[in-house]
This record gives sequence, C-alpha cells and structure tokens, in this order.
Amino acid sequence: MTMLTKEDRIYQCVSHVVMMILSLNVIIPMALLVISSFTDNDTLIRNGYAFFPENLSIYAYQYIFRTGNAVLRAYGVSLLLTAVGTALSLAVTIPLAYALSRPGLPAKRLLTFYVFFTVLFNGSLVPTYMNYTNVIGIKNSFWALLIPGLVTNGFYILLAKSYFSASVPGEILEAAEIDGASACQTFLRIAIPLAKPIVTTVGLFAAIGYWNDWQNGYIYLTKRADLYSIQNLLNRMIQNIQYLSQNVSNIRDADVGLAAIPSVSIRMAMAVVGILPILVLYPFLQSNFAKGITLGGVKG
Amino acid sequence: MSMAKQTAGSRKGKKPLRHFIPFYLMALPGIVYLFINNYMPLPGIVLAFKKYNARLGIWGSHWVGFSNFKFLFATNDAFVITRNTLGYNLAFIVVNTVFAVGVAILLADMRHRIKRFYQSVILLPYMISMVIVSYLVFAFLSTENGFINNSVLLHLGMEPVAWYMEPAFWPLILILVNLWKVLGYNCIVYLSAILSFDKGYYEAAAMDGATKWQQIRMITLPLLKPVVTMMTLLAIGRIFYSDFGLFYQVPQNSGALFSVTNTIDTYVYRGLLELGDFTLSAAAGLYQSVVGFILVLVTNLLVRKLDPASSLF
Amino acid sequence: MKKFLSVLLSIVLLSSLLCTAAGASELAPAEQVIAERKAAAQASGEYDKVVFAFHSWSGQPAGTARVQEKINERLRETLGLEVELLILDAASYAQNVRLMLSSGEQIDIFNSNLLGYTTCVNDGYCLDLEENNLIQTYGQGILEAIHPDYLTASRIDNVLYGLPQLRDMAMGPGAYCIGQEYLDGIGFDYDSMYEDPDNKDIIYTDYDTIETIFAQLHEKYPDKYVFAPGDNLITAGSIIDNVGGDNFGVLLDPVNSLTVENLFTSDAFKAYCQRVHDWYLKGYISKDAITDDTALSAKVKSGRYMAMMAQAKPSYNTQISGECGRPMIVFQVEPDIMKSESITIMLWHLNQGCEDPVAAIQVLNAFYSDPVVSNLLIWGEENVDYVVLEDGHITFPQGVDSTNAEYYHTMNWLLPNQFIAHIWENDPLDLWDRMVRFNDEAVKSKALGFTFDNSAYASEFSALTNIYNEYAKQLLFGFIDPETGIAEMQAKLEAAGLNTYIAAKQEALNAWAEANGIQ
Repeated sequence: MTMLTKEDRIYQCVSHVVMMILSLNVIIPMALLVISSFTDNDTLIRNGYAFFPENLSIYAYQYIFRTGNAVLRAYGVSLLLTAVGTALSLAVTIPLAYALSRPGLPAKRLLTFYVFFTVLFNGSLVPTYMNYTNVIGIKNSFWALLIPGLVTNGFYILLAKSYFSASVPGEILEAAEIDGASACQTFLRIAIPLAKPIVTTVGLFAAIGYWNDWQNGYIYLTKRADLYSIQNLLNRMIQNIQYLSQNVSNIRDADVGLAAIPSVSIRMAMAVVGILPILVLYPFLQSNFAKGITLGGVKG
Repeated sequence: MSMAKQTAGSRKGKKPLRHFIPFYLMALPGIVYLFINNYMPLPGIVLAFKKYNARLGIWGSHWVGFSNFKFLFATNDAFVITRNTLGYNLAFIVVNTVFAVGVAILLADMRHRIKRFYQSVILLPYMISMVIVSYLVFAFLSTENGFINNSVLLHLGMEPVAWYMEPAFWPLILILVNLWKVLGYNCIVYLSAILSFDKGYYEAAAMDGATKWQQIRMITLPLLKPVVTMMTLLAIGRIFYSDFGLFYQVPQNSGALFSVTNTIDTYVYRGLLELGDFTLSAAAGLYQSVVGFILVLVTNLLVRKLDPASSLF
Repeated sequence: MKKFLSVLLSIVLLSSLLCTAAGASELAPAEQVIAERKAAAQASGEYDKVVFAFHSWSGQPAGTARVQEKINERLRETLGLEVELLILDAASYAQNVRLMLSSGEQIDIFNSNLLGYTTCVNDGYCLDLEENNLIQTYGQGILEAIHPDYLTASRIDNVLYGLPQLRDMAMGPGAYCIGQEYLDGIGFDYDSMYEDPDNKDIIYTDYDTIETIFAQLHEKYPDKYVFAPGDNLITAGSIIDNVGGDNFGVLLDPVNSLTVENLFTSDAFKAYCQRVHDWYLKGYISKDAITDDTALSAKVKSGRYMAMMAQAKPSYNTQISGECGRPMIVFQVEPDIMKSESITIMLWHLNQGCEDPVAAIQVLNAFYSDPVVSNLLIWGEENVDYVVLEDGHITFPQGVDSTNAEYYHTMNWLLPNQFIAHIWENDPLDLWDRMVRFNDEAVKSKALGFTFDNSAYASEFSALTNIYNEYAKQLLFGFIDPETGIAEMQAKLEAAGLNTYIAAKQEALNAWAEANGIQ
C-alpha cells in the first residue's frame, strides 16, 4: 500500500498532534530544568523557578566541572558500565530465555518457576549486602556496580521467553535440527535473527537500568570515589540535601550542612549533566533499535 | 512426570535427555546468577522474625515470632496506607497500560522520521530521578511563584491555591506525574511487540476494506493480549510496593497530604528513620513480597483458565 | 618439722596468690605494647591499620588520602599504627555503617551521630570501654580531656559505651538572627543592648522585642519575608527537653522536674505555635515555607528573607554571618541550657567486633590528646589546607576557598578534640575558654545523660512518628490554627498509644534517676 487514503492521512495527522502534545509535555519542563541550571542561585531562592529569570549565571556548571574532574570520570564510569553491563545482561538473559522456551525441556515448569520466584522474592538489604561483601567479596570494586541486581531479572527472562515461544516458530528450528545444525548453531543463526525485537528491547532495558542505577554505588562504594557513576554522584548530593533538610530539627548543625552543600541551581545542573549523554547518544542508538525491530518482523 | 508431554507443538515422542544438554548449558549462566543474586540471600528472611544483636550475629539472634510485623498493622494508619498503595497501583496499571499501548500503536504506524524524535523525547523523563521531578512539580505548583498559580490561575481570574496543603487534587496529580515519567519506558515493550506482528494481517484486512480503527480493534489488540497480560501480571506482583520518590519527594513530604500520599513504603520509611531497625524493614519487605506473590499466583490461575497462552507459567 | 612445712606451705600459697594477682591485670603497659608493635612492623614492613569512620555533609573530601598519610607519618612514630579515614556522606552514613557493623567488616572506631546511641548499644555494636581496664590503661589522654560529669552522662546502665567530644554541650535556645542591614534600615538600636561591650556575640532579650522588630521590619520591607521558619521551633527554640530523643513525652521544666509530660497538650506548646501562627497571618512567613527545603541561612542569604531562628553558642554571630553572607545580629530569648541529650547525641565508640581494641583505643587517645594529629584530622595539612596567621588564627591559603578546598569538611565539632587544635580566623582566640564557661554556666536538665530504649515500643513509635510528621510542620510553621490543629493531632496520637509510650518513658526515667541518685 503506497497510496495514502484520506483516512490514512487523518490518522497520521491525529498521531502527530497527539505525539506533539506528549512531547511538549516533556520538553517544557525539561527546558525549565535547563534554564534553572543557568539561573543565579539566589535568584532561584528569591523568585522561584522561571522561564525568564532575572539573573543568569554559569556558576553551577563551573562548580561541577571544576571539582577535580569528578564529573568527567563519572561519565566514563557510566558509559563503561552501561556498555559492559548490557552485553553481559544479553549474554545471560537471552540464552536462558531461549532454553526455557523449548518445548519438551525436562523440568521446564520447575525452572520457569525458579525464575519467576525471583521476580517477587529476594532477601532484604542486609542479607544481600552480606552475601556480596563477605561471600562474593566485591565491595568497593567495579564488579559491585555491575553485578548486584542488574545483570538480569525474572522479568527480562520471562518477557524474552514468551517472545521466543510465540514468535519463533518451532517448525523452523526443528527443520534446522533435521538438517544437521547443532542446537548452538540453530540458536545463533536462526533464532536470534528472528528475535531481534526482543533482543533489542531487553538490551535497551538493561542499558537504561545500568545507566540509571545509583543504589549499587551508594551501598557498595564507601572508599572508591573514583568509581562513582554519574547518577550516583548526582544522587549522593541530592540525598544529602534531602536528608538534611528533612531532619533539620534532629540533626545538629544540619542547617550549616545544608548551606554548605551546593544548592538549587547546582542540583539542576547536575540533573542536566546526567541526561546530556542520553540526549546526544540516543538518536544514534534509536536508529539501530528501529532497524532491529522492523527487520525482525519480516517473516518468510 | 508427564509435564514434558503436555507442551504444544509437534511432538514425536520423548526426546532423550542428552538432546537437551545444550539448552541446559545455555541456561546455566542465568541460573547461576539468579542463585547468587536472589537465592543465596534468601535465608536472610529470618531477620524479619528476629531481634537482631550484632554480638550474636544473624543466626544467634533471638526469635521474636511475628512481633516485627506488628507495627504495620497495629495502627490506625494501616487502612489508609494499604488503601493508598493498592488504589494507586490499580490506577497506575490501568492508566499506564492504556496510554502506553495507545502511544505504541500511534508510533508503530507513523511514517515520518520524526517518530524517532518523539520516542526519544518521551523516554527522557524516565532518566531523571524523582527528586528532580519533585523540583519541577514544585516549579509548577509552588504557592507563591508557581507557574499554575502565577500564570494560569491569575489570567483566569481565580484565586491562587495552596496546592501542597490540599489533598483533594493529589491523586490526580500523582497519577499524571507517574504517567509522565513512565510512558516512554512502558511503550517500548508494546512498540517492539507491535512492530513484530506480521504485516500480512493488516494488508489483508485493508484489502477487505477495514478501517484503521477496525484494524486496531481486530488485529493489533488481540495480538497484544499476551504481552499486556504478562505486563499486568508482573505489575500485580508489585502491587504492595510503591515508588518512594513519587509518594515522598513529589508531595515534598507535606503532612497535610498524608491521607492521600502515605503508602506502605513511606510509612515504613518515616517510622523507621529514627528507629534504625532493619529487622522491621525486613518484615515490611517480606509482607509486601508475600502479598504480591499470592495475588500473582491467584491471578495467573485465573488467566490460565481463560486464556492459557497468556499466562505466565 | 610440721611447723616448718606449714610455714613453707603458706609461703608457697601466698606467693602463688601474689603471682596470679599480678597476672590478673593482663594488659601490658602502653609503652610496651607500642614497642612490640613497632618491632613487628619493622620486621614485616606493614603496619596494623585502624579504621576511623565518621560522616561529612558532602562525603569524602578530595584531599583525604593526603591528610591520612600525614596522620600516619605521625602515628607510625608514636604508636606503630596506621589509621584509615572513612569519611562517608551524611545521608548514607547510617546505612553504610550499620551494614559494615553487621557484616563484620573492619570498622574500629565510629560515631553514633545519625545512628542513635541507644540503638547502637541495643544492637550490640558498642564495646564496653572499661572492659579489662582498656581505657584506663591506654586512654589516659581521653580521660583527662573529658569533663568527668560528661563521662558519667555517657554511661548506660553504668557501662561506658561511648565517649563525648569536646564542644559546646549547652545551647542558647531561641536565637533570632536578623540581618544587620535591615535593623539599620528601621533604625533599631541594637548596639546598646549588648550586656558586655567587649563581647558582642549575642544580645539577650525577650519575645516582646522580637515582635516589635518584626512588626517594624514588615512595615519597612513589604516585599521581603520577615521570618523563615524551621521545624526546630521547640527543639532549638525553647528549653523544653525532649528526653529520650523524641517528642513523645518531654520535660517541660527540665531544670526542676523529672515529670515526663505530653508536649502537645501543654500551654507552652500552644503558645509557641500561636506565636508563629500570628506571624503567618500577619504575612511575615512565605506560603511556600512548608514545602521549600532550602536551608534557612541560604534563604536569608538570597536576600528575600530577613530573619531566622537557631540555637546559639559562643561566637555564633560570626558563624551565622558567614552562612548568611551578611552581618547578622543574634537576639537570644531563652536561657542557656544543657538538655538531656546534649552529651549523648554523638559519641565515639569502639566496635565490639573490633579485632584489636588496644590499637583502636590508642588511636582514639591520640586524637584526644595529640595536637598534631588532631589538627591534621580537623583542619588538614598546614600550608596546603590552611595557613597560620601572625596572631595565631588560621585561614585558607592564597587561592583556596570553601568551594575548591581539598580538605575542609567543617566537622570539627564532631571530632574528638577541637580544643587542642587551631582556631579559624574571625573566631576569638579564647573561644575554647568561652565554650567551657558556656557549658559550665548553662543550667542543666535534671535528666542529663538519660537515654530511652524504645525498642519494645516500635509499633507505637512508628505510628506516632507518622502522625507527628503529618501535623508537626503545619503547626510549627504557623500554617494552621493551633486551636484546632493541636486537638486533631492529639486525638490521633492518643489513639496510637501516646499515653502508653509516655508512661513507659517515665518509668525508665524514674529507674534511671534512682540508679544515679537524682531526685
């Protein structure tokens, strides 16, 4: 169908209008965020947030980029972590999901339950921490950012499993086996290309998970400030501010602490700094995403 | 164990175990990881039933039965926090799913290249922390300087509203803020599902003269059912949890709003902040997990009766 | 013969008795321990390490490793030990330390600020410092530096689990800090109000003066907010002692009475809330105050707010002027007092799971008594982080300020002994003397040193806390009418078990008073 019918055109029009509205809903607050990061701090406190502030200032960014390259290093850590983490996550999740989706697999129900159980149950903070610190011994290392909680989870696995079951026809795989291909070859040469959409989706989820995560660093990095990811760095500061401001009456000198920590405009600037790489890189990744999905949709 | 024989597909008799070994090998890294990450710390669940003392360690500390759970129930707030948690989560499931599916359908069909821009933009809110979101909300709802009070209401000739003191508006505000934050992320799954549907169905339907709306109703939605069901089931499993940032930071911890913003997680946090007792928070976590787990099992059973292909397991 | 044998027997018995008596104090004298340690370190090339943990407002300063090495240079010489400074973020401190303590990682010395003294003792984290005469043998410097009353106050059930640092223990409640330029603008004569013309730290006055000033300020500067409220209205603004560390059951008259009463039904509470509510109605307070989490001093610094309330101490006007970026005049309206929690709020402890308590206590002893390491710990390296001026003050070196300093954590009041360290410029050189006098002359709460173990009342406490959080700010910031607001809150609190909780606290306080011989 190459000719656009009238209905098609109306539909496209409506789609654009709706998406434009949704996009503006994001762009406007984001613009406010960026503008406040360039606003003089005292002005922010005096007059609140405004689209056209009285006084502009780049002090916030000067502060961030001056504090000993911490920000640039944090970017590096975030990028490395996301790249390695996503690769690791895919390598662990996709094969498992594929295996679970094979009909006739002995103990399939049991294994699926084994995976499913982890979606809803896990040990609380203290046992998990003790496990990773004492037994596995990864505290204060790069592994502490990579491994706890992020490599894969039942949700990704079940999502991919249901995709394999529904969209990768058993017949093709059996045909390949009859032709003499090993299970591994079938997986790599046939199943994966057919499953590009889900691989891309899980990869995207994993990447977002790794990029956004700050909890791991918060808990496991007590001595390695050089391993802070960008979100960890940002959230540390914000958590300090929130903690102090919400406990002013309990903590002695909390007010002094609050005044000492860089204030409103710097928090905004750090948030901008945190999403900047996404803004820059995502369009490139996005085209691969779309390609991956549409190609996978072609069925023979 | 005739489970193996029950699976769908062309079965030509039982395959030898040997045949499945490569699959087990593929599954091994994941199984091992889940064991290390999720199963090894599980015995720590006993903390919820103990009074911890560092000298005795986890295993030596004394059992106290269910008394660590008391604080969740022996309070007049118990009803409020449970109602809020459940109510909001149900609203989120419905609202978020409808919008995410809707947007995914729109994006899937969009021809212009600008759709990439749309998709990137609506994903952005997911990447900023809820604390920053709370500042942005404050910029809009601040009583003195807020955008709404100063620019919108003023021009409409209405009195400014002390937003952070009026509980009535907040269920709507929180649902909208949550939707804003997760829409881009949630629609990824649905979008990738839709894009993988066989275009042949649509072409055939169009040739038969079906309208866009009919195509959506007859083809897209039914095909999406398994994915939607699965996402919903998973959301039900988390139904007793709540996004801490959304319910604590966004309302700026304003006491006047507690009746509509206090959830189980915020209640536990506030109560335990000074007590500092992690056995109590372990108990709360266990409570939330167990309830969610039971609900999912029950719902999954229901789904299996109605539409076996959509059930989780 | 028999007689000879019996004498011999008694001599043998006596001497063996003497031998075992000598062996009972198993701890070798300090010098010997140090010498042995140093010898072992020379041989192996490695020194034993003691981990010293505390928090700062923004985490580990950039120059920590450098300063740590300097401290170690000194400690290797004097003690044959090394220290590792573990400086954590304030917000994650409690969680990080608790996790480390429960999982058995090495953390030898830590501070219980943000953790809670009773919680730490209850959870079994703290070592009894007098066990086997540990502190008597190796911590003489500590015992000499700390006031004996404060040591007594730090005991729980007569066991010494923690050590207070040297700082302002007392507080000056109700210190209203007002920008000098605004006072000049209304022509208010504050200069003549100082009691002692040589000591222009604080003006002692009353609420009427404050009301007059506020009214005049509001009239003269209608586009500014007069007052930035905080939820420290009772804790920092009155002498009401929140015994046990929470607001559920307080001593309304701590100097004279040990009766634990309900704060919220008291006339005093209503009066405080009413005053703030009046100010709110008169427009002195911003309608956004309740949701704005900016620090009070930052608000004043922005120029939009003119006054704030805090708790004062010697030379407080210097400190608050620095924070607010403008000269401030401090008007204190309540008498100096040392409340029950003043001493125990941030003690230093030894981890009960510590492998080498002797080493730990010796390091702590060094921080309490050795000016070299105390200066390094508090101020950093001389000529890099600070320079000594001619008159003895210290200040930043050229090109360094609070935004780019590598080691400027401002936690001097938390660390063991700031009294043997330098004094920053603008503070009077006799600051420590003034502080000691401030502590001595303040009235003391009868319950000084009392701590309340509320672990048996966790349900009540979490319910009460949630209710309190719901109403407190609205009342303390003056946003709602105390008449109705307090009644509502009180009804809910009572339903949640407030009276049970107060009764339990009273019982504990009575027991403590009896054990300590206090009427």
